[in-house]
Amino acid sequence: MKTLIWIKAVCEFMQGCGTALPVGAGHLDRAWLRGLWWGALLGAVILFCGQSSRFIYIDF
Amino acid sequence: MKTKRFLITLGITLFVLLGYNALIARLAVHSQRQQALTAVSHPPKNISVVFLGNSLMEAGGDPASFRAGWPTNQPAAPSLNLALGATSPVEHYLIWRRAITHELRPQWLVYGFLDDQLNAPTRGDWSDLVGNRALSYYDPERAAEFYAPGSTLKRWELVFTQHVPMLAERSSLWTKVERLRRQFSSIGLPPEKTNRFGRVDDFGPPGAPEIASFIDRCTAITETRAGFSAPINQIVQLAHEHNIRVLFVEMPMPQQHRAAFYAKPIWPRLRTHVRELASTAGVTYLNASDWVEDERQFADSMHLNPEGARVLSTRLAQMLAKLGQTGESITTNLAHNESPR
Repeated sequence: MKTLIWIKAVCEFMQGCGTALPVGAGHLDRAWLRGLWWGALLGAVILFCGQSSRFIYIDF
Repeated sequence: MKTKRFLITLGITLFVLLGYNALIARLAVHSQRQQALTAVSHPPKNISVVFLGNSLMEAGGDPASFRAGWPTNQPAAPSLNLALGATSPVEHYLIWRRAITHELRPQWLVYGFLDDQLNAPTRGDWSDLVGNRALSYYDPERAAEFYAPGSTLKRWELVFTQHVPMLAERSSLWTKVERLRRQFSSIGLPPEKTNRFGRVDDFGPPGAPEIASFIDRCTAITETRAGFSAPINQIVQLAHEHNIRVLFVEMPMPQQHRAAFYAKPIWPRLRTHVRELASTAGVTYLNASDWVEDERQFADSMHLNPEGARVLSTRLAQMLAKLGQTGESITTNLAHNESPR
């Protein structure tokens, strides 16, 4: 349970709604890591935004 | 310091986005639309007949059966099927134009259609241009002219999108996700019936809303005496500029579709109107909607299966051979008879 709360706190910091990283996550405060984080989030959006289309047969 | 951190973050994010674009561009290389364009860019020599249209013609135009149905006492007429599923007349025009650019010069263009497709307005909104309709991004300036004539904004939208694979080819990635999603959702369930166009149930029988919409659209076309849509006119014009004759084929449909749509009083009125337009445009109109009566020759409630394609293509070959022999007198007859059997 503690691990989940810790991960949640890291995510909140990375996305800008937390002001400080939790204890033991100081090494994650890197600009390049934050870039990867936003890149991964954009990738997830790109992957799943097709669900809103009427999906019948696209290249099947 | 903060600015430097921000710029590093931004740079890495953009780098990741570049990676996505490269990945999606690579995935799209094997898409149906790119394969179709590659085929169009290297057409076989001496093609006499080209089939064009959406998935109905893609499923129904069978060059081997067409060759078999062609009379042996006449010079051979090789055919080529350029139809592509899930496309609109705009994409058909773009394919046709590319074929002409690459010196494809058949004697006949056989264009398959259903319902009010020849007169229906062309739509090219963001949500429309996915899958094979992404072909519109391959020739954005021409496509934009169909979707929003004279609009600089639309032209810019399509031109910009063309250069960003993540946008233009977005459905290439969605396809993978959708396949995965279907695999997971079918765990523990009996397998769904599929064919080359996807799930058979996706092409289920028409419901009341579809029928009402069909009647409304047909009524609007006949009341306003609307002409063919712009891409259809351009397809015909391009063919005639190169002395290629055009045949519009009302594609074979199952009994259920004909009963739901073509048995409505509005359909004969629309058909008469479309025939008049075809006659004026110098196009032959052929009603083949009831050519395949055996329901077992359909793969679903719209598309022919290989056996149905054989029936259609063989009869088309016989028909075109006759037209080639006797010329315009039969053309005129076809344009006015209900079903040229």
